[in-house]
Amino acid sequence: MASVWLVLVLWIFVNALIKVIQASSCAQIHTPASVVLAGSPVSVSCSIEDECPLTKGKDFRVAWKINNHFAPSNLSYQESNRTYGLIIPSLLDTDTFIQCAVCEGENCQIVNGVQVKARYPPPVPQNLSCSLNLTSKRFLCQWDPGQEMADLATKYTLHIFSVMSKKVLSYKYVIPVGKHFHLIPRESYPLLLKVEINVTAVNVLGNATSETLKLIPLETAMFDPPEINGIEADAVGCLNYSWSLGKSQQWLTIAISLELRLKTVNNRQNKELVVPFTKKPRSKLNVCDLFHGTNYSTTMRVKYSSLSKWSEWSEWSDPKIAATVMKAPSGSLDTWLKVDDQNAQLYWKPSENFRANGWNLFYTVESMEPKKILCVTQESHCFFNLIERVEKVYLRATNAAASSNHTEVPVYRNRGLGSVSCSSNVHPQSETSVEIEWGGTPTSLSVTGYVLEWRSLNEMPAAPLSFTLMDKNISSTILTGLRPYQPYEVSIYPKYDKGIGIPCTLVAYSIQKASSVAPVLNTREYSNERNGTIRGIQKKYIDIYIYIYIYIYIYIYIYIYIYIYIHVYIYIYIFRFITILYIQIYFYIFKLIAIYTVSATFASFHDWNEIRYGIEMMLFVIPACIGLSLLVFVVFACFGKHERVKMCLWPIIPDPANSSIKRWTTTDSMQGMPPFKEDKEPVLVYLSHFSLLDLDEKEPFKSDYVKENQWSHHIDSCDESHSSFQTCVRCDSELDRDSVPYATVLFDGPYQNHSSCPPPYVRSESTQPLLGADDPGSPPPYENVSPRGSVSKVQRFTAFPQNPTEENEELWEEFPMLRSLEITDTDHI
Amino acid sequence: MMGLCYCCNLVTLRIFFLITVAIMNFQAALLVTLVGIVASAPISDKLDIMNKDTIEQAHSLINKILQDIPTTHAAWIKSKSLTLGDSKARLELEFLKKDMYIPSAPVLQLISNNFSMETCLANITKGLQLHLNLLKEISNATTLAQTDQVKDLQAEIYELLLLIEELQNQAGFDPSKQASDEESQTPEHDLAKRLTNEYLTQVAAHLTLQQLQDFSCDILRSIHSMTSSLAENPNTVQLCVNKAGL
Repeated sequence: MASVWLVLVLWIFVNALIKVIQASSCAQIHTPASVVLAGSPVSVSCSIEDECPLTKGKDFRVAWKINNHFAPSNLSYQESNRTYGLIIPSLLDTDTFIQCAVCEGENCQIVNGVQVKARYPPPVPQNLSCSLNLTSKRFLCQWDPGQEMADLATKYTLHIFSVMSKKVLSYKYVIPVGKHFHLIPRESYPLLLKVEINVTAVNVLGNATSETLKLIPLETAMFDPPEINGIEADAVGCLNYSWSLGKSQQWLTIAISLELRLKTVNNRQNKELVVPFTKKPRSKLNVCDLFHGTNYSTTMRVKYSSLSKWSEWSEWSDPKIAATVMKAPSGSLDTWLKVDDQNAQLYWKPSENFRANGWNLFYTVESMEPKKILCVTQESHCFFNLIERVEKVYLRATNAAASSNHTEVPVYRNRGLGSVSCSSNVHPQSETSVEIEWGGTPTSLSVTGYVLEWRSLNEMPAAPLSFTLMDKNISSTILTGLRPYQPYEVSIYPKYDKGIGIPCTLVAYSIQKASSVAPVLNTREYSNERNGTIRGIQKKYIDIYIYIYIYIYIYIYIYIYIYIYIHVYIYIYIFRFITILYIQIYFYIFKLIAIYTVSATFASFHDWNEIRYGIEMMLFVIPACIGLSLLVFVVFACFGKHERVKMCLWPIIPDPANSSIKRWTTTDSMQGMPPFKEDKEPVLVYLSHFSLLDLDEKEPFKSDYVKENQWSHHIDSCDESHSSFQTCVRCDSELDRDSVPYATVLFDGPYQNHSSCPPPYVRSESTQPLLGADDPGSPPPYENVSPRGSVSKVQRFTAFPQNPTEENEELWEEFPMLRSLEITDTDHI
Repeated sequence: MMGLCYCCNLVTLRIFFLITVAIMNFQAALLVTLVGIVASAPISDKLDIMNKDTIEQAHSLINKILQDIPTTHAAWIKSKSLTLGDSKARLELEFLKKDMYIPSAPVLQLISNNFSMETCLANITKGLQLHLNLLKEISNATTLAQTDQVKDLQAEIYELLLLIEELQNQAGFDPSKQASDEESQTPEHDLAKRLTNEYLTQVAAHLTLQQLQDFSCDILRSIHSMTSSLAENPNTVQLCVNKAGL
């Protein structure tokens, strides 16, 4: 029920809407067709609504506008009371806008309009063609649609029909819009029967049918290349071919067109021969009139029929080579015999009609009287001796089959007959030819001809002689086949009936030729930083190189780091040292990278290069030095004696703190000191400074009394095996009071005395309370040692006078407490 | 024991001998037949009327059909037990062939006084039409997938049929009369009903192709007897012998 209501409401709404729309429109315009055939008449009618406000109670007229121009009044008419019509007798414009206007006086208002299109029937499809693919069995037809109208859909229909044995086969295919080809399915076309095919284009205004093709589907197919199965040279000058079609056409038995193409192989007479046939497959093909004893390379191709315009030649087959039967050489040879007493030089060459007719050609020169073979050669010349009575020699060519007829060569012994007037001229004609002209001969002698001979003067070994025989009427000739601008010796011999005349000899050159090979330009690029290349490297590659450098360096650093890190565990003692070194290395790396980055960013190219070279140098040299020293260090650490290294690196300083100043000995703290060899000069250990403090009075004694060298040593008491130092400070009993005096002992010694491994730091300081003497015994005897040269240097550091022995004694007296000092030098280093 | 073995050997030898003799006889018979066809084919007067090109076209087409039957068989029939030219299988399937009412092809004989050119051409037409129908029916069976090769073969058979009818027209025979005869003679067979499963359809397809191959060889011989006077082409006979697997 609700749905019924809904429908009703909708209907009322739609109805009302339509009424509103109609009410808003003042006129209805109507034309029978919006698309018409171009040139056909068009009629339009316009009905003015009664409610139209433009017409209500007004005197109005209706005017027509065609493409914004008022239509001539003779075209319009009034159909009925409020309906007006317009007839355009022939519409030619493709798009025409026809408007209906209501006019009151001169004021016209357009009330409605319509667009009428003038169009044409489809153009006739052109170039319809079909082709059959024998492998895929696709029979494809295609055509050109011509100028189609975009807004008018054109449909195509392909018809294929054939009439055979009173039966008509007809198939029709509707082609989808936009396609201009069709694959005809196999069941719709025969292979060997004639079919007719056409295409019809249809649009709303008409249709057009293409020209009808009449063809046999097979004739549109391109055959596979045929195969030459065998060639027989059965008859002289003939070749007999057996052949077959390609595999997918072997079923064919009808006669087809084919062509044989023959080419001579390795023969001077390089001729091509194309022989057409129309033959059934598998029949024999016979080609005759070929050269004898010649290799022929043969290929063949086929097509359905040479009469059909649809047929296409197949590809050429693979070539097969066969030789024709040999025969004796035929034709004559041109000869040129030069006799000098008994020496004869015979040159020959094949004349135009000469045919070798075979291979393995050789020549025989012989004389008949006496019968003698003078020479046998494969060359084209021969030198031999001639005896007096020989008047003719004979030349014949022989191939593998037989010998040719003899060519007779008369022997002229008369030489030096009248010469050619040597006003010869040489005119270079081209790069390979020259024209030779020569003058006449003495009229007393009848010339029978001329011999022109020439040879290159520039060839090693001497070039063979070439010659040409010429008629007596000729007085100039053109030599061809010369090498550009090479000297040739040219001689013209006149031939008389009785002998040979004196030649005219000259040297001829052809025109120069430009070098055919361009010189190879070897270029080498030098470092030209200002032009943007560095050692032949272009700028764009430099950044890449830098990155590679940095990567390599970082890699090396990491490698070294890992190497060292491992060794750090092994040689744990040097760990701290390495760490410090590494911090330094990384500091360098980061500094360099920073320099690079900054310089690459801000420096100009030229400046940058300088920086780069600097960086490069630093990158190489500094890590190399560090690495090298590390290596030395590691090697040293590995292989050196541990004790000594340790002593060198961290020497043990005698520490007075560990001893009582009263009875101070270095015995304990000197454990780590390397034992010195006995052969060394005994070294003195010096107590350089001694001060006393009284903490109670908070006033130190001015007690810089004691100085090196002032203390004697008991050399006698030197223990060989054990080095110790004992100092006994004996306090005077008078000064033995409550306050605890402190004493500072400075321990010093000259470096020079320790040539092998001197303790680098031999100063030590200790301030501690002076204890009472445990065992106040008489001090051990001591003696002052006179200062030596080496010691004197050390004395400069002291504030004591050079010869303080007496002073010291006075001081001792002034400071009676010091008297109690007892220094016992049990041993020395 | 030894005696038994000896006996067995003897029996085997005899069997081999008999088989050899049988094969030789068969080959000899075939040779005689072929030579007979080639040598003693009577040249009908009608041959002069018939277009030699049409005969040659028919010759080409029957060659193509013979060439395409094995490829069609290979593409269409998947069962390995069904191979073309297998004489043993041919005997074994004799029952099914009768059971499915697959009609036999018409007999083609040498063209002679007893077997005229007209009869020969009529029988060829009849046989081609028969096989065309059979192939169509089997193709329509849903149990066997359609292949392009079958369509090609059908198109070729149909084209040959048209050519033979054309020959009949040229010779002045009445193909329509023959056709009506053939329709009256051939019972309406409804093979499709019997193709109940894929195997039976394959068997039917196999039997049809096998029979078509044999019949095509007969057609080739008949056509060859017509063309032998025109041009020698012994290869085609050899082709048929090969294709038939004889």
